[in-house]
Amino acid sequence: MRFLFFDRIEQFEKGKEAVGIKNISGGEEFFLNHYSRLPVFPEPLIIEALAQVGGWAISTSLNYRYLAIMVMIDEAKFFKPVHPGDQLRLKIEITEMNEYGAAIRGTAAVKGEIIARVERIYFTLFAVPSTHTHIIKKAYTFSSGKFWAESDHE
Amino acid sequence: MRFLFIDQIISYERGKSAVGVKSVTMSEDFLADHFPSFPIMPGVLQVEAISQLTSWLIYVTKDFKVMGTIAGIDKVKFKDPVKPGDQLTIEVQIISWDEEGVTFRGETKANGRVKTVLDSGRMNFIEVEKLEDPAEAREHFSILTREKPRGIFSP
Repeated sequence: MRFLFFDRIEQFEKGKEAVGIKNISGGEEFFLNHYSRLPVFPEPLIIEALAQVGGWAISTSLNYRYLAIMVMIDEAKFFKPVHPGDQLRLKIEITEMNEYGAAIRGTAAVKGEIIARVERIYFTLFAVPSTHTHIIKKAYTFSSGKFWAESDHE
Repeated sequence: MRFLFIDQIISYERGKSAVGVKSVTMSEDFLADHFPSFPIMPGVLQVEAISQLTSWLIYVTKDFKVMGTIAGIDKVKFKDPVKPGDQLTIEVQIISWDEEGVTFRGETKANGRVKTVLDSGRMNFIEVEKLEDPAEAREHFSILTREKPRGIFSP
């Protein structure tokens, strides 16, 4: 299983918020036994999807000088199951961000209806050495759905 | 990759608690992305392991008729990283039962250190046959608890 849980970033406001999407495909491996009679997208992976959009937004807001690693989750609620064919709209707001850590709140929606909400995800920040920021920038630009940055001439 | 995060159920007390194991190994494919050249077992998959063990505890307590699905997680702390080679011990306790589900808590540990703590969460009941073939689920449970002698020619 690839451990990437968003496909594209649709909206982004530096330091404030981001919206990503994730398509739920019947071909994803965990559906083989989760569950064998009814494919349900695992709830902890909805948290991971929000955390990954959040981590992308935090790192991009900090110009790839830091990586955001999730350390605590507060109040995650799951209202409806998610099935193959659904598209998750992952909306996060950055609630805190400084050189030590960051936090987001997020919702996941399908067809305009919120199916899950996480009140807070807290991150710790790891500094990226300046020799490596270009690697992070390239990986994060790719995962955001843009295959090249606006300006590749740095 | 099968989405199974309990490899063995070491012990359980119906209605109350259970202890299980998940072995973390380099060949698990999610480690390739998490993180490149720095494999760490994702925290949310430890949450999944805690939930799966709780679901098995519900399953055996309710006479193999009912499982649990996650309705909410109140607080989880990821205290220490889990690496390939670690044998993760998962301990869960049920805090309360009601008609629709349970409130539970859980912890993962390895090498004598606490790795992840789930302070409380909520699972709702669902009939097994809605999700899995009941005979296969029963078989899987007996393998996890090592009830049956293992061997190619077992009856």
